[in-house]
Amino acid sequence: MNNTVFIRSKISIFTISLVRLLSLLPFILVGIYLNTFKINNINLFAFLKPLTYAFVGLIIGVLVNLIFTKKNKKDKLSDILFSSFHIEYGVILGCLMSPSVSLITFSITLLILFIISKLIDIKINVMALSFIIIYLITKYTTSFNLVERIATSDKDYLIGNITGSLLSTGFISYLIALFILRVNSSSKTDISIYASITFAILTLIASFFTNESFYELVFINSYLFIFLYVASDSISSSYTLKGVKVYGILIGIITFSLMLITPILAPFIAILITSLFSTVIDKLSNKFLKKKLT
Amino acid sequence: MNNNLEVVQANNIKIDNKINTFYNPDNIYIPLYKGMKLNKDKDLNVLKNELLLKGSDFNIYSPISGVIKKIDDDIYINNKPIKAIVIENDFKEEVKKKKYATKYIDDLEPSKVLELMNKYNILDIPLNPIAKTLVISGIEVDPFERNNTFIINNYSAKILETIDALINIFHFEKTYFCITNNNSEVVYNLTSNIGTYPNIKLKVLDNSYPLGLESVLVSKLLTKKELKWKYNYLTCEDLLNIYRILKKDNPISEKLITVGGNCIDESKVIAVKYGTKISDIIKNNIEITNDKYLVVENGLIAGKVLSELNNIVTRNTRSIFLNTKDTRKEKKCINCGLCMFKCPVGLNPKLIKDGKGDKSKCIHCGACTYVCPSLINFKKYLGDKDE
Repeated sequence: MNNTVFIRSKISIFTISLVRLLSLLPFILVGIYLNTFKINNINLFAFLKPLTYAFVGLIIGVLVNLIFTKKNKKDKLSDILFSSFHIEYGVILGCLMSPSVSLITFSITLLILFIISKLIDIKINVMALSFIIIYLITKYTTSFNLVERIATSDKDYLIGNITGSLLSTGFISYLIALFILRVNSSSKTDISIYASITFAILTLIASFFTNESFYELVFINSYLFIFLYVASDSISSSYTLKGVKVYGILIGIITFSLMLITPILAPFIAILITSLFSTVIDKLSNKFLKKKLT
Repeated sequence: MNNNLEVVQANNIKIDNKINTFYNPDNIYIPLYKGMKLNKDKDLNVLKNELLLKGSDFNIYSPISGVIKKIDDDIYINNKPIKAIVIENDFKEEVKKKKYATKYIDDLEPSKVLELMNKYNILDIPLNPIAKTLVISGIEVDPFERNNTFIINNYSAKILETIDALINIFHFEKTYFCITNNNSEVVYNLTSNIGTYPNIKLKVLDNSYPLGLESVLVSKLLTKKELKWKYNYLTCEDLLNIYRILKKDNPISEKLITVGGNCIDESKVIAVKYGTKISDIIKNNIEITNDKYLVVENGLIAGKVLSELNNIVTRNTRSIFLNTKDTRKEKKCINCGLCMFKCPVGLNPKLIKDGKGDKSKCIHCGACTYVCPSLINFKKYLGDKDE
């Protein structure tokens, strides 16, 4: 065998991002319906606002990629625009934003953080870090409640009948998106699954000891969405077959532990911490589990 | 999660079932391996199927009739120079003595079958008569090749007859004929004929690369018990050759090779004589559409670039491709883990690239390089299997 390459698969950052962005459609479509049409007192701005964050996030991602990518004549437009995952990060963060967040705060903070992430090569979850910073800026500069959750029954959580951002759309949308990602052999869906299951088991146990509803603990604050899209970021997460499972379980455990202290930031802090140790998790889980088997 | 690797680009390659032949090159080149003695003098006539070279392990027979001209040292096998006997073709295909065909090959004694296989050096690994399992691979080693497809579409009756004969002669307990589900013609051809052979189990597997490699197919197909009992592994081409030697007690003088690539008009399977120069095949059988090609032997994914067109066709030649190379630049690793996930032997190419992993078990299938979204060429780090 020699070193020349003649044929390659069609998988690229563009195709990976495209699948992830398309899998957001169930969330976006159901979110628009439940958060706008079903609510009384809507106007056009209120209808478009949740979608605007996703669109602004997309534009910022495109801008950052265009500025920082070295362009060759042979490169296609999709290769330049999707030279990194920043478009995906921008759209997902847009979906995570509550309509209470100032659009200007969101745009400027995101742009600065994306530029810094391009300049400094640190293996860290950019989405988690960006959300934490935007949340803290918004919390300490405004007096709004960032998330409003109104649910009338447990069923509402399953179908996402709660107000908030676009992603407040529940378990069914999560399952559809998970199916789309799994079928397209997205290798990091194991992280989402293990994080979700670990978190669900811990909250189920907790719900027996507290008066809290299991559905409220699991589905509030869109933890499942965050596990599905933010935790499974390709660059910052573990990549080995055993590592992704351990990575997901750790995220589930840390999220549960932080949930009572800071319910909104819990999953993001959990993801940020585990992303810092993703290489170590890969190394140790493969070493330890290999020894156990032998 | 599905770790099958489907080479989508190969699904569009269609070949004609017409039998293309190139039996009339001007010269044939017979490699003069170390320790081999020439059985004939120079300038003497040689007949087809006549014993030409005697060695300690195997003999070489002439694939054509003609005149021994000289010994040429500008001949290559796998890009390595070798001395070769040049036989000038007289285009008569004269044989020493015509032999009558054996009517029923399953009437042959096991010792006779093994003797013939050994005499004509049919298999790299001799058939193990005490193994309990027989695995037949109808799966292409490289997804762009079509040798097995061609053989199944044109010779399925002969192949099945041979398998049945081998089962009866050697009493194999289990026989699996493996094909993939992406070629409906092959599936149809076999399913319509295999009913009369209840001893042969047809296994239609998901189209995945590199299922055509013995180690990968066998590990997927056989249980630990079956592996322990030992198995025999044959390809469709092996079966066709076995059929021919059992029927006629003559050496095999020709080889089926797939000719393809993005620099020629259409892919095809051609029957050529052993010892034909690659340059002769290209000159006489291929319409080139793009001059900026490299000649690749034995697959587009794991094949080798031929630095010299004076390479000759040997038993190990399966295909030649005239293809442009991928010139896109490597990007930074995105940590997706696909290289590891799609590796059939469970290696970690990313770790090997960083100089930390163990590459000793690599089977050099090229799947990691094929699948990488960042266009990283892992072949550089995994080493050349010829070294």
